Amino acid sequence: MIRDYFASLITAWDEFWFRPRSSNVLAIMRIFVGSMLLYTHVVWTLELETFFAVSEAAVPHDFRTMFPRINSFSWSHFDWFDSKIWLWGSHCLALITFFLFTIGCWTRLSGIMAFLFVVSYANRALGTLFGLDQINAFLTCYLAFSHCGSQYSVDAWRKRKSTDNSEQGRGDKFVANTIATRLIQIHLCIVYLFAGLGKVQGNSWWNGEAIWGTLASYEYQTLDMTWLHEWMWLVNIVTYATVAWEVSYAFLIWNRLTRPLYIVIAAFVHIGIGLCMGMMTFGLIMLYANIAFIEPCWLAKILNRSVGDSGDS
Amino acid sequence: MTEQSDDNIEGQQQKPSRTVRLILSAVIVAYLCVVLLGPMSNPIGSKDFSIPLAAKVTPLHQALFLGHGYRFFGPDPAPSHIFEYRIESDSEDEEFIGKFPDREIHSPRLLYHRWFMLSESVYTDQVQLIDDSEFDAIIQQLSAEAEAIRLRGELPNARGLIQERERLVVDQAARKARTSHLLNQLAQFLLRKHGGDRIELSLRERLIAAPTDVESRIQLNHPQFLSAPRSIGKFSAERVDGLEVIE
Repeated sequence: MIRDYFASLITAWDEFWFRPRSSNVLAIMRIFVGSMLLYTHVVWTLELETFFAVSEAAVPHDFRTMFPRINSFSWSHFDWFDSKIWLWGSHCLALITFFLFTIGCWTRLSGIMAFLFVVSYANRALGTLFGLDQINAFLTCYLAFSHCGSQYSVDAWRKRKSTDNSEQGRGDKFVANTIATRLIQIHLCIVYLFAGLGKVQGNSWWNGEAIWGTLASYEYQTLDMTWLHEWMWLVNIVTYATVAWEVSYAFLIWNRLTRPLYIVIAAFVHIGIGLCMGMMTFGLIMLYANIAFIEPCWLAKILNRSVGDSGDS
Repeated sequence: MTEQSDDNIEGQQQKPSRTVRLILSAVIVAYLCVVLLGPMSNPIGSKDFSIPLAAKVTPLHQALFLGHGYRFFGPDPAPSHIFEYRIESDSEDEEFIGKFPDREIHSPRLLYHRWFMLSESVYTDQVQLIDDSEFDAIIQQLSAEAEAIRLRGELPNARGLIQERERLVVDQAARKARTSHLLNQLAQFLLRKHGGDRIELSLRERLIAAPTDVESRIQLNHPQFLSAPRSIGKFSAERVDGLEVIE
């Protein structure tokens, strides 16, 4: 009996991690995440020398090395040269890389390079970072080793042109896609779980006023929602619902019945953050991460394309 | 569709062999532990379990940009902080006053947010910097406690307190050096950008308006929510090779 239990446990583990999976969801994620990377770094262009030059930037290039227990593994290619030509040259290369990754051109190479650039920029710009950079990095990492370039991409278009008709239409399910998807899903669950548990420690999340605190913060505010002072009961409910949703996300997102509900709530929460608190980039990247929970067969139905039964669960 | 029939679809990748699955499983479990150690040690963790373990995987955290705490808006939405600066010039009577973040200047919103985070980073380092005399008192108290425990024969506990004292000393020294270095560079940058001979840097805190304030029609940017500027350093551009702290 114990033997059977462990045998079924191993089978379930294998199914979860190693059952080949279609690329369509990851391909869509590549387009969204790639666009976000491109936008994030195009914005850096506006103050590139302010934040990334070696000697004349606002933040010292060796700032990150002055934190205890941080060592040379916190690398950045910006440390390797002190020349504006190289600075702008490497930035142009990074933007081209993000563009190629977005359109799925030489995706294997552009994906790995995109991840390295994301980490390098983040390490150099320490002190100016927020959640967007953290989510950008892990999504790019997992997408880079998946087959996200095998659909909706220049690579796929080129492959279709170079192969004869008999080769076309074959399945594109890969184990790497499954591992990448699972890692995105689990990493996202970890993010939500600790975001939720962190809130549980705060008084304002218990007295129901935390959402008011986010809406009435002048530095964050983009949309005036302070009229809600007349509806504090609603603010209280939204506060409690936010904590409940974040803490329970890691457990209930896996259930087929509750998953659609959790994704819909994610859409409301993150678009709300984007509209009301001026963090549309952060809101969108969290939403893009949630796409990993959409099954390939669901997406195929949505896009009205027949990719067969994905068999993913 | 069953697993068997799924695996037989033409052109579909097969499941890897048992050995490969075993190796991949071990790597996945190890990697997920590395990911989990981030929020379990940052910003708070167990000093006997998650923090020492996280220290072992720090190279991976740094190389892959992992190890974050993910405590977004936790434990509570906090007041925001504004970095202000006043630049004086020997040749001109007028002084230049600036701040960041500044929604009039910093656009698009993502760029504004970068400056906002920089202001918050400066504040975080400043607020964690303990005054020298207060710090000396903490160290002396820890030393006295460690000695008392050692005399009672509880050597492991005494060793723990000594390690804690050493960690505090290292952290305080690093924080002082880091803060001073950052402020110096920021001052240099701002003087180069705006011109001038002297610069004073300060921080202000903006409290979050209560619902009753809004009910009384007080705007969120009303001065009553803004603290008085707290000076965090004056710098002079007199030296050619860098800036000299004058206060």
